[in-house]
Amino acid sequence: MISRPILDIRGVSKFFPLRRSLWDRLAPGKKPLAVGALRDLDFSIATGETMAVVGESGCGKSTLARVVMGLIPPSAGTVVFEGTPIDAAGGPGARARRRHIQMVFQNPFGSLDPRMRVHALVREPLVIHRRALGLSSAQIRARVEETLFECGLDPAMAGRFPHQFSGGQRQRIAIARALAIRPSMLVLDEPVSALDVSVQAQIVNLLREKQRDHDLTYLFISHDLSLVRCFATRVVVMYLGRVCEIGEIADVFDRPLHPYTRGLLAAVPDIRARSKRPAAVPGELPNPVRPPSGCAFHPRCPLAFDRCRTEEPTLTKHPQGQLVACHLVTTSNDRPQ
Amino acid sequence: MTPRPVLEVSDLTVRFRVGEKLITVVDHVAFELQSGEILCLVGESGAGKSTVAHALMRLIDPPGEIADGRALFAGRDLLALNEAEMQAVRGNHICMIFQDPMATLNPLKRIGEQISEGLRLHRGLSRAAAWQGAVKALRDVGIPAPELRARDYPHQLSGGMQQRAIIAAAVAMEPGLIIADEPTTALDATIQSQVLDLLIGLTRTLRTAVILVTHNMALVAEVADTIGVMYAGALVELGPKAAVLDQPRHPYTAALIGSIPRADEPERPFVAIPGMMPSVSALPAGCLFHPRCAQMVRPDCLQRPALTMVGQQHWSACHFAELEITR
Repeated sequence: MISRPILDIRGVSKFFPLRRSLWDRLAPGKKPLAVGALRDLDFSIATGETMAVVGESGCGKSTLARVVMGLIPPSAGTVVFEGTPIDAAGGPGARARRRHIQMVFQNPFGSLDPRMRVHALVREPLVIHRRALGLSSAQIRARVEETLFECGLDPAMAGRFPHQFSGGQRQRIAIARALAIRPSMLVLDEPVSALDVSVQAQIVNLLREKQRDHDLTYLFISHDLSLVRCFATRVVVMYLGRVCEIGEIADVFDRPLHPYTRGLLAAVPDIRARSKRPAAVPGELPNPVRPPSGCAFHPRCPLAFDRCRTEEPTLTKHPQGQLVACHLVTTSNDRPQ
Repeated sequence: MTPRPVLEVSDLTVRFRVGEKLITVVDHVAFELQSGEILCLVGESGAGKSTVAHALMRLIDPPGEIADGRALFAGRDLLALNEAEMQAVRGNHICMIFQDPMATLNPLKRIGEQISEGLRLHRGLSRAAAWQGAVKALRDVGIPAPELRARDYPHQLSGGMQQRAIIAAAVAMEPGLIIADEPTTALDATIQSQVLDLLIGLTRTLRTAVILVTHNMALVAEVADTIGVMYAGALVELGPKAAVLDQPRHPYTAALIGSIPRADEPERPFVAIPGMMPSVSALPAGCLFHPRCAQMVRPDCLQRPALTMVGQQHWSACHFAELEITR
């Protein structure tokens, strides 16, 4: 897909410093410790595509979402939205940017104010951006109704409170709230994980439909790899704040190169399987405060060799199409067996 | 001849009293379990699958009550035992594993003590012998340096290690039945896979029967021997894994399988089940699924269908289970 990038993530890192005891702060030569939540991320998202971010807890998926939304500033690097760098949280450009990027959170039980009625929830962003949008009160009222209808909600129920709705309907309200101001991009942080499968499909279909209707770009954060395969056009696989592999969805899922990607794909239960496939990735996530030397994945990698322990691999374009950060893959230029 | 089942559940019914009303959350559920068999109870939230698990452990607190049914375990009806007798079964012959390991483990006690507890209480082992048993159990579940880990407090272990320790505590008792309620849902994919390998491996070796409650149909496809599908408090389909997944005989099962995103068919549209599962306090008349059923709904559907045999060890609660299910 060749299209103009809507979002450019350039060398973005995020460190969260750890609180130190007074003793440590006074002791000479003790360096402050920090959790490296994002390490030197570099990729762009094209208009109209769905970029998925996958990885296990602690890999930095949600931190990335927060940096993209401008909720927290990156420690290094910049996020460029439609050619304009995103300021740190609360900067003067923050409101203008949020008119274009909105977010849908995982838990519609937590993301909707229980004391606000549905129409007020959907109206709130319109009121905040009223001047920029140039809408009259009547137009705002009409937009609220139109957005609710578009998201499969009966505008007659707009006088109700969130608790009077089911989880799926509540997520529809959250999506309506995000779409009311007609943004060009949505950050979807596990938007269906809290829902039952039969309802998940309804919400995924709604998101697909809205994307088509409004030419929306999605940054889709999920741990459900089967859903990602069906929903996304490209995918970033993250491990311990680093990108392991990035590419077109079919390349990464059908011909994964990085051993972590392959292990992760093998670990996901498969409805076609009729017996348990043995766990493919041994061990557990290392302490992010003291990440392993070299390749962050090497202690759990079944294929690690000497170089992996000392030298951090860089993302390199593979002839197959995707970018991959693995010494074995880049040196042999072949799929590891 | 099939051997005598480890567990025979019949007519299990759980009701909750809400104000004046009695609400049935588990309605005449029946199934059997052989030793070494893994039964997966699947369904969406609110289907009653966890309540079945809790009822078998007699962990239903007021305003809930077990209103009817029998659960024969080793010749005794669990539902008729008094609390002291049940206490002797619970954590001894039947062990339960919950979803959240941090809520299961006592944060103030060392891991080793918590595993020892069952061995001391039910097996009468001395403190030292039980501790040795706990260390061995931790070793069996693949925890490195078990002597040291036994001295740890729960917060010092990762979620995966905590769940392993809980499995260690259960398996150390060599129970006849393990009831696991979403045991890996809180864990990451790679850890989930490891923990399931462990649970299945150990129970297969010991020929422990397992009831695994989960909402994840794909996980069921990998681990189950038998699948029980629950909907709005009722068991709507029960049968061998291959039969239920490949030739589902209840429209809900078929729809549930159809709504799962499949990596092998990325272009296929998501088939959502319209509407949502009814609340147990406002159940539809007749077949519980008929308002959402994609099949042609006929007058018979206004009568509640019973679970009837549709194949070898395969039951479905649909009036038209013998008809082809259209998708």
